[in-house]
Amino acid sequence: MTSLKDKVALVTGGGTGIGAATALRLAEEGAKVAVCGRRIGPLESIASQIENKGGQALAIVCDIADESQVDMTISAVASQFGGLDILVNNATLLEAGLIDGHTTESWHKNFSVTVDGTLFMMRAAYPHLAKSKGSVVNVSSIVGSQGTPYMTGYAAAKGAVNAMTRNAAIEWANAGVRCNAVVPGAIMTDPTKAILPDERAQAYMESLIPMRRIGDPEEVANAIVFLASPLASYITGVLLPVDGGRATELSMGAVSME
Amino acid sequence: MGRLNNKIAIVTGAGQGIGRAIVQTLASEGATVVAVDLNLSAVEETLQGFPQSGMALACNVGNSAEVASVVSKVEAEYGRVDVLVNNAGIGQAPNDGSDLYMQRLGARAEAFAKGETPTVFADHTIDMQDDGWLAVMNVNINGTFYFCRDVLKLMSRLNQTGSIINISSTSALNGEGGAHYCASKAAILGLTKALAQEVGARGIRVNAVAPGPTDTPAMASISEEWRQQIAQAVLLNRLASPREIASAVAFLASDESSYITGHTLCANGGMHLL
Repeated sequence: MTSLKDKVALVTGGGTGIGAATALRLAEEGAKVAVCGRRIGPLESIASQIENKGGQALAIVCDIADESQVDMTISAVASQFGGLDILVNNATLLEAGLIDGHTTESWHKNFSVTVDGTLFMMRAAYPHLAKSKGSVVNVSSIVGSQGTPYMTGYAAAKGAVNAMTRNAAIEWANAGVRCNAVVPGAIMTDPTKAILPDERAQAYMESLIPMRRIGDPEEVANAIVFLASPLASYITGVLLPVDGGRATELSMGAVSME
Repeated sequence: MGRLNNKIAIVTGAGQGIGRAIVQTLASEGATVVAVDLNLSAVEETLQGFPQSGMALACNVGNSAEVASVVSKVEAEYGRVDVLVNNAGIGQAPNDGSDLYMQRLGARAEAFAKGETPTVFADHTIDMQDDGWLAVMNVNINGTFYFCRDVLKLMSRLNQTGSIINISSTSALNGEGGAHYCASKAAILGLTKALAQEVGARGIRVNAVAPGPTDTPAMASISEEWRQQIAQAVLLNRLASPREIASAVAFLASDESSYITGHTLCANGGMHLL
């Protein structure tokens, strides 16, 4: 499969979880892949996995909440790989909190990474994407569109990502730049494992999902690669759930009765 | 590429346009495709160039006995079905008031051209007869239901997984089109979500695709001016090629969408945002 041969991709938060799975899938499809994140160790590990399979990769340390670091990251990718075709905004941060107890600091932290970071990346990437007629895939979350108590800051930030996705699709359509988002439900990553400490918690979560299982990062990566690829050339402004059908279920009603 | 190697697929409305492109895309991904249409010679033509892939069958999807017969023929020939694409659909029918609606549109355009205020509204539904309404509902929603039911019966009996893709329309979301068409295409979304919940636990996925304006033979007859107007309603400023709809269907048919069910994927150039 060479549908992304010689395309240049940047994945934020590319060292772990969904970001790492996406970086590996993009490389499998022939793309040159840059990964950025805060810790060099996991990034270098993904980059060397890609290189060991004969691909080209770049690992860049970047705190996306800092716009000067974002600008330098985009310039570095574009100059090293000769442009930019695909931007995957996957990096995020979750600071939990009830509305009446959310500290101002943790509220802002949710926004500085997920909202500011995504905006900084999209803004800096746009001139390159306009040149390449490229595309953006943002990684949202089911919590951005459905009720999820205890994490209002994170949910609001993901709701903002949905709005940014729709608006970029409209603003950039004339330039031939597409912008979509995937909307993962429960995906088996380290943060998910942390909130599902035992089998009982996991079984309860599964009972809420029509497909009765928690997804794998690779399943989200496949959806991201599809949206980024020319196979999705007529798809823009779409929020694609990758959630085992969770978004079709408004309450616990039907599935929990079994 | 072979993302659908060894899969058995049924595609309805496969004689032209989007359906034909879906058959050819699934076949080039390695699937064995049963191409179904009212018009047998049209589906035979669809399968030309894909000799090892599937068979052509005539079927009126709005007739449940004919649908049952197609599904049993497929079972007899291949033993199972992995992918079902319900694409057959119609936008109008005799006695649905379309003729009077077109006359009113013409009168309005004439008035606008003269700089006058039109004296008639663009009414359509007031002239829609029972049989005109039912004909569109029958093909679009009953036909989709009959095929879903009979294929699920087979999948369930064989205890197998699979993927069903129902072709809806952006009209289901924005109400652009005849009331019968919009209602039938919106009904497909409810059916899709209900089935996704019902059969998700055993690994059968059910999704819909909502195309926007697509460059099919049905669109070939319209004026260049009208075509421009349609393209302007789409963010990407152009009509889709049938292949672009087919590649969205192929994604949902393949294991690459293994955790996606109950969703309506807009392949409409961003039309749902405006």
